[in-house]
Amino acid sequence: MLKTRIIPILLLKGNSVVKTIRFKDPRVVGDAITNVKVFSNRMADEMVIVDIEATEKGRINENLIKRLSASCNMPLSIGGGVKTIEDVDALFRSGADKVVINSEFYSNPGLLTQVANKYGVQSVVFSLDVKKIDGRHMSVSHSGSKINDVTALDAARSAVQAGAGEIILNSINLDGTMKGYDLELVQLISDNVDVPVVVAGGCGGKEDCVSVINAGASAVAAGSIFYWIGESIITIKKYMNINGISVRII
Amino acid sequence: MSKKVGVIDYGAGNLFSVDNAIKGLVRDRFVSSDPEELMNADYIIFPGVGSFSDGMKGMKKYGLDEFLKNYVASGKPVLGICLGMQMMLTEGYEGGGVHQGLGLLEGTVHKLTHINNSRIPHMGWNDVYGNDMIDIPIFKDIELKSSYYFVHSYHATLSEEVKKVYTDFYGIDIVSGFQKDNLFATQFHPEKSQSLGVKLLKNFLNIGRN
Repeated sequence: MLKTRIIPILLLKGNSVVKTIRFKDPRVVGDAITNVKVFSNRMADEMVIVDIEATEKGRINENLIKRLSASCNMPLSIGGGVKTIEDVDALFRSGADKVVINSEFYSNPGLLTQVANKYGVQSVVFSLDVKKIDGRHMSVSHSGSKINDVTALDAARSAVQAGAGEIILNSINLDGTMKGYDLELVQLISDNVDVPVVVAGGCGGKEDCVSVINAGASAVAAGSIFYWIGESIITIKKYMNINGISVRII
Repeated sequence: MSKKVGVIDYGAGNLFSVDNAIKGLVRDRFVSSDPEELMNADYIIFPGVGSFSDGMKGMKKYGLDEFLKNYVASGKPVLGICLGMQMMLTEGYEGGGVHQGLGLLEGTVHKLTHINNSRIPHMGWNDVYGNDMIDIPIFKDIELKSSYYFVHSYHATLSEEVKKVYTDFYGIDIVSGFQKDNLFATQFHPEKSQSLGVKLLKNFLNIGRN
């Protein structure tokens, strides 16, 4: 039986990992390579690595990505500043298994198709950042700064149609708050697409990991709980397991 | 005696990851598109991500399709991973229409079908099992139902009797690996499967040595 994945999200700023709250105020939580090694040793099922400076600096930090990939042998979804097929090529060359695309999708959905044709649908991850505004879930891009005139659901559907093989669903309202996931949003998206949906934003403890899976998520992503409250992947997995969720236990 | 490991580069694939996973196991290793150079290898790893049709195009472009057939005939071990495994078969349906594979083993590659609320791609860790597992050398000392990392939308159906292992995809058994003589293959990614993946690769690189 397919196991439910636990996926740490690492946001890169230079050579450091940072943690944000509602996509703002990045605080350094450690060195990138050390983080990758630690999560790998603790048997994370996969890692998502996003360079939050890549867009602003207009470059993919190939050198660092290569060093990160070489520090583990586990599945890596890598993104940040991905605009062209050449950017995607660079990430695959550096050890990415999947590329994470966010902002570029809204102006150029064809990029997803291009990547899917070249590397397969399974390698295209659409990062869907969502802000709840007046009760509506709207899609947001450019690190949370640009609210698009497209609902989260419409964005999810068209991304899958364009070639996304997975969605990372992130609630900006809840990011870094540890108040629990937006289960209504999770249900809305996971009920309406048939690719895996990885959910991030708001995890405050192992109980949230169980409820988000029961709401329809395929995998649990988190950052804060690992850094601020020291929750470990192993204790989360044990808790999920006793609650009837199939996980990979080593 | 030192062993030389060649990784086939046909323009698609996670070559970096394969090289990274075997770097601690073997010193003499190389990645190449050159049939002549690859022919000198004692072991061949044939990895891949991407679509079946593009993969075959790449193989033909470098004459690697003929190379692999000759290499297999020489009796030296080959390990196909994911798309590499799929391209070993007779034909595949990814990339529009039907595309001829390498035909090293009879079988076809079709898209996974949506059943029991399945999500496609099949993405994540899943168990590998089957009565033949114990007889396939790459699984030596690896427990039944060990978890490996999968990421694929197409799967292989074999029409030839060979030793094989399975994985459950929402209630359906799909083929997740096989052995035909010196030909080995996995649908999952050992190079991404942490310590159990390294163990499998180590087993592969020990074939014919003990």
